[in-house]
Amino acid sequence: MNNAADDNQSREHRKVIPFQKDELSELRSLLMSKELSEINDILKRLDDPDTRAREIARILPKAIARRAARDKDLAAVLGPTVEEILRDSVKRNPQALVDSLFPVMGPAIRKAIAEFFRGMIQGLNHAMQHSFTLQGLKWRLEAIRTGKPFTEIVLLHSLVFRVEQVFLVHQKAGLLLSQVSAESIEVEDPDMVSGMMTAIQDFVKDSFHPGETEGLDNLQLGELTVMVEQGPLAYMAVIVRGTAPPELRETCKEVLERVHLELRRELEEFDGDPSPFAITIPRLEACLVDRYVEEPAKRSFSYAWLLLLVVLIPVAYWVFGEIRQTLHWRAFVDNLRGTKGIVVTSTGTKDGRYSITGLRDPLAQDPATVAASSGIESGQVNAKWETFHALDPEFVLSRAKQALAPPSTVTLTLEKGVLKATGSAPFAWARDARRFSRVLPGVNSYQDSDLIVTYDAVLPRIQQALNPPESVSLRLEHGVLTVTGSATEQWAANARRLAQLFPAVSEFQDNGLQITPSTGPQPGIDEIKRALDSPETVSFSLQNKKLEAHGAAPYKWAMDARKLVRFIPGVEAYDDGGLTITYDQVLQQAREVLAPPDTVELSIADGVLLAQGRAPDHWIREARRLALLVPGVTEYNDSRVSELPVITLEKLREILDPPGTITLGLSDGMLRVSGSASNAWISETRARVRHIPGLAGYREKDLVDADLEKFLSLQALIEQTSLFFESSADRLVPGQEDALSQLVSRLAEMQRLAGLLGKNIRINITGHTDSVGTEEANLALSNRRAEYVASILAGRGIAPANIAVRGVGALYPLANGTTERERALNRRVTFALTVED
Amino acid sequence: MIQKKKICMLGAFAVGKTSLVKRFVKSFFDEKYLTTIGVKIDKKTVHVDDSEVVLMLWDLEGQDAYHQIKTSYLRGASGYLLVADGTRQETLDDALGLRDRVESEVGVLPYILLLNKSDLGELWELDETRVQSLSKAGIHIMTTSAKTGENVEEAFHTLAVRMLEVRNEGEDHL
Repeated sequence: MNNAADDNQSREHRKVIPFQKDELSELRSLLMSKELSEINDILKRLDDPDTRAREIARILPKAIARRAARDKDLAAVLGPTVEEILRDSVKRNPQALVDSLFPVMGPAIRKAIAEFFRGMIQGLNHAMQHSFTLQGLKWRLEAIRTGKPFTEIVLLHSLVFRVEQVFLVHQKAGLLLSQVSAESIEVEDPDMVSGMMTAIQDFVKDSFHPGETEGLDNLQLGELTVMVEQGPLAYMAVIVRGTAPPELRETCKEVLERVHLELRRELEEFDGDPSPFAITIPRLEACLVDRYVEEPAKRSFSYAWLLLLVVLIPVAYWVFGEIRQTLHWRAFVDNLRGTKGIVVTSTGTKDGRYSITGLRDPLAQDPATVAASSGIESGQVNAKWETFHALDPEFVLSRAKQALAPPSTVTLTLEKGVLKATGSAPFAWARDARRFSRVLPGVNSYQDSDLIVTYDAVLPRIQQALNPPESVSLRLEHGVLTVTGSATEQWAANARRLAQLFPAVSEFQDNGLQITPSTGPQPGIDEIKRALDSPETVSFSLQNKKLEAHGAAPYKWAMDARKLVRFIPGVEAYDDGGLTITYDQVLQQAREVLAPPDTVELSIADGVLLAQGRAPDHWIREARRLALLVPGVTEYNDSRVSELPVITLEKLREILDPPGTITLGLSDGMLRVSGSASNAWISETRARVRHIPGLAGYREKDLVDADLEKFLSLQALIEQTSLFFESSADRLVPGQEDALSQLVSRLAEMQRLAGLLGKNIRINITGHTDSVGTEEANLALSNRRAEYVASILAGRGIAPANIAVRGVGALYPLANGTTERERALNRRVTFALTVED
Repeated sequence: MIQKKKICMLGAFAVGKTSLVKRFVKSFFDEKYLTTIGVKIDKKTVHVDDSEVVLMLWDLEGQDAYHQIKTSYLRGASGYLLVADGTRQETLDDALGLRDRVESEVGVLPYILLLNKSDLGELWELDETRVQSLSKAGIHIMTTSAKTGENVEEAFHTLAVRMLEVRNEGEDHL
């Protein structure tokens, strides 16, 4: 309304300057006629609607474009009007709009349906993919529980994707307008990537000639999808890792539409300057979405555990082994500490092996046995044991029994360090026991008051020494030698002196002896021999009451003779300078006491015990202590004994390389071998152990020569073999080829083993017949049968020289021969082997 | 100011288009793979006055009577390099034919005619008179060698300058 008033006012104003024919008007006309004419033209154009419409029509598009480019006001103003017009138009004539939209609706609908089906197929693919997995079953249960379709559950769990890059590319030029990428994504040159994507799209379009509105929607490469959203002026390429959800495309569409709406002019007029499109970056960033499965932490936790398990299982196995080994080791050490007679002083590990040192009573349990019972292989342990004497009562008692060797009639007990002997024992043992018990470690005192001492052994010697006349009788009880009867004073005096020399005699009682006058003759040599119980190798001479001994005698006899001879009546002096004393018994006793290893040789000369060779350190020390306790040993010389180096079981295994069937044991330098091995290994081991430093001895215990065992086994099998013949013929019954082949292979193997064992074998083939026919004929037939088999064996490689044949006819039937079946059993050849070393 | 320009490398087979591009840029894509779709794209940035011009090089496979140019690849190009092999007279004819095809398909664009393989002087076949007449007819001609690098940088730079001139002329007209 205001505008209309202004127009009227303007027209009124224009009417007050009419053209006047006065001077002023004329002057004005002269001066401004041209301007007035133009003003009148303008007024006419303004007043004429047609002219104005023509003028506005000329500038309207440009004006609209400029205003639209400046702000959104024009769109806001025109929007409601356009909508109203559209509504009116649809009401008036819907067909016109339908006709207009028809070309675009068809493709749009097709595209929407295609999108729907693609999403559905995608879901089905996921469903199929997960249907037969444990996870799939879990999701199926969840679908049942929640009432949702299975495919929806699968999609819900498996749709893991991430938009890594978004490109906005000019549709026509193929040049990159803007680009965004997710964090930590390594981005190749976006310009080149977008150029290449454009080229690929062009290539596809040129190759397949799709419709105008169609284009490349997706590129798939592994888990990467390039999702392309086409626009008329630009397209968006979205790089997705994983499975993109359908709504992502919707998002992209919206973004692309907004870009077209906001930057249409810039897109249309694009000439290579990408700067106006910087404002699209926030919109493109809206497409940088990602989605993870529900409870990602839980899933990663599970995978982490799975991975951890894969790593941990071998580690755990190793740790378990280590722990078990450590536990076994500790058990071993604890068991050792609990073993009487063993004192562990230190334990540890060195170079991956356990080491243990300590003290060990020789009577204690073998540490190798303790190791085995604790689950430790003795080869895993470097052990060093010093010998000592344990003072545990059982060890003291055991040692006492070992040292004193009591007769079976004696019982030894130990109580609070007191060694008690009960029962009955010969005087000599009782005397020695008193003497030796004092030096036994752990024995504080010795008590034998309850021991009945018997003199059965010593009394004859006393009688022999005293040589009483027949009128005298001797009785020895409790150390009291009672002499009764009648004897000369001289005899009585000698007897009194001699009796004192016998340790068994603590008291001489001759109160019951009746003294008779002395008439005794001088002793003869035979009498002296009897008195001294001299060996055959000793001879005597007596001159001027001086007795001389010659020949050779054991040390013990020589010593006893020196003591006894002084009490022989008529002998006042004794000279055994001509007597050679032998020490064989002393040496034997020394060997029993010292128990030297194989590597030590003992010898004795003039009471000097000589040891030479090599021995473990503890044996050397023990031998020094015991040697002088052996009667007859006056000196012990071990200057020629060198200490054996320490050798371990592991080292022995390395040297001997035993098969798995062999068990080696090492104790105090003594190697013990048991098990089964080849003859070659056993022979080689026997030879090698002599030269292994540190080895004090070698013992085989239950060692089986496998070759010999097999040899004997084969021999038995061969000798059980029989080959059977047809009646009255030297032809084998058919079907024995296997038995024959087996026989040949066994014989060949035996020959091979015989070579290894250094033996010779001879194969004796004996032919037999049944009892049908004459003896002569049967002998001939049996011989032919044996020869026939011998020829077969020879043809199969058995040396003929080692084969002997004979026929025995029907002499040795296998069965009675009353039936054909039994007779068939008798028609045979048998084998016997002669083995010679 | 940054400008992005798409330029195409056109010419007959084996005239040295790819070699020229290789000389000019450090390739990014695998040549064997991308030539299967008939084009290889590279990028090179040059500076013209104060402007930084990003050249997107579309190296189109060789064209002849049997391998027609894919005009879709020309879409949006701001210019092109027309390459002929100086040792093969017929490739010049091919190049000029391609130019006509481009102009009929996408209109007149700045271009430079490159007479390549100048290092093979003894084998040079092109008629100098004809070259001069082409030059007088307004065709910008440069003699290049991908082998020695002669005029390679200059050719791309010159084309970039010409493309920017056209753009500025367009703005002036507006």
